[in-house]
Amino acid sequence: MRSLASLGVLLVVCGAVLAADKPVPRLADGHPDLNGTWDNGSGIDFVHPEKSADGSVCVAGCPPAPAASAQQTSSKTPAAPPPPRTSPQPDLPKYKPEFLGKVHELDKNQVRTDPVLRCKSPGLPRIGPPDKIVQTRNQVVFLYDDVSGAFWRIIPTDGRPHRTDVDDSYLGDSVGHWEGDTLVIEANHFNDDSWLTDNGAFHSTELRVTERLHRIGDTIDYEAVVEDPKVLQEPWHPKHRLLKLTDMELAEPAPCIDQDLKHLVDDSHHANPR
Amino acid sequence: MRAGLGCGVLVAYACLAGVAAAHHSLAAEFDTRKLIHLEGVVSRIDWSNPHIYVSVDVKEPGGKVATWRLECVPTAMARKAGITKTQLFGEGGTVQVEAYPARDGTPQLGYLARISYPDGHHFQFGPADTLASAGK
Repeated sequence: MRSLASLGVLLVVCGAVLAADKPVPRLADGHPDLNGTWDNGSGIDFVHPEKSADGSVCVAGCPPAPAASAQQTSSKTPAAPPPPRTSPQPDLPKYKPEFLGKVHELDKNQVRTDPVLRCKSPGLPRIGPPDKIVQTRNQVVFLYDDVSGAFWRIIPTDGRPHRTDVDDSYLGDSVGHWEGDTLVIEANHFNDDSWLTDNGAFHSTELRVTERLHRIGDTIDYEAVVEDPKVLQEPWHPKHRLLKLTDMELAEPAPCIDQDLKHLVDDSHHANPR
Repeated sequence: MRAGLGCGVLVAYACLAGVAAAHHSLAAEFDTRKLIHLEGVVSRIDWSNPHIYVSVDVKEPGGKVATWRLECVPTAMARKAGITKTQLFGEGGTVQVEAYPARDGTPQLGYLARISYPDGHHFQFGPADTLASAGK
């Protein structure tokens, strides 16, 4: 798994290198301009729609491309092996031994215990990188178009400390500062009603998340470090994400209304990419 | 109008591992070993998450119209494929549908594997390669 994570980092780095040819735009204060709508993959990188000339679209379960089939039948040469695939599942957090049973139990019963399945906020860091960034001199606003709905974070960058008069929440209280050209965001004041990722990865209210955003050309290298000393053995590093600047503007997310959990006849589930 | 039931083992079921993107297995709700063929008229699109729902009015043999509720992909996947709510609704007329029925026996509930429109174009959201054995 660690090698796959390394491959993911390598791919991000390669993407960033390719994007580095383009100069980083800057705001009047000299900081990199992070404004824009950013394609972060939305956790559905595995989806590769196939479009036909007649307007047909295959989103999933697509038959093999005719060209590939013809090639296989017309040639005696064995087909080349498929390119290596990276697992959609990042390395999981390492829990203290006394909490492993709880993680296992939540995982085993995920279809009944995962808050996201009931349209609750995924929380930070599960929500992933922002879909849109609005940056001013004193603050940065993150906008999210999530399967659970629309979410936002207001992140002051004027040096003020964390608020002490806010309730614990899914996305926490965030403050940001610049370290060179990297925007560093620290978030705390989380509730414990979200998971870090799939597989029963719960957290406590002692959760702390540090995000680092570094613009390279028309991309942003996004990384997060997750600390929860109450339940985790060590900080958890979700996989790096490479955000790509896009012209596609955000649209109002569709309402999240679960209509199918009551019809499930068993507990089987698949890995959640985020 | 018919609601024929055909069976076939979906060798390509593994392709569906990430279809729902809502974490429960598709097979936990729908019988992916069976394909139902429906012929009807799209009457409603619920553009919602974690799944879009497509309603199709199907005229049964006795003449009564039954509305099928067909689960589909999340809106993000449809959007990535360039499929809008309007396009999914179509322009009226009879559509051909292949769907997996609900395992819990709920009538007129299924997962939309493929929908084909009167002009011949189609949208596919799951393996529908057992059509030959589905009695179409």
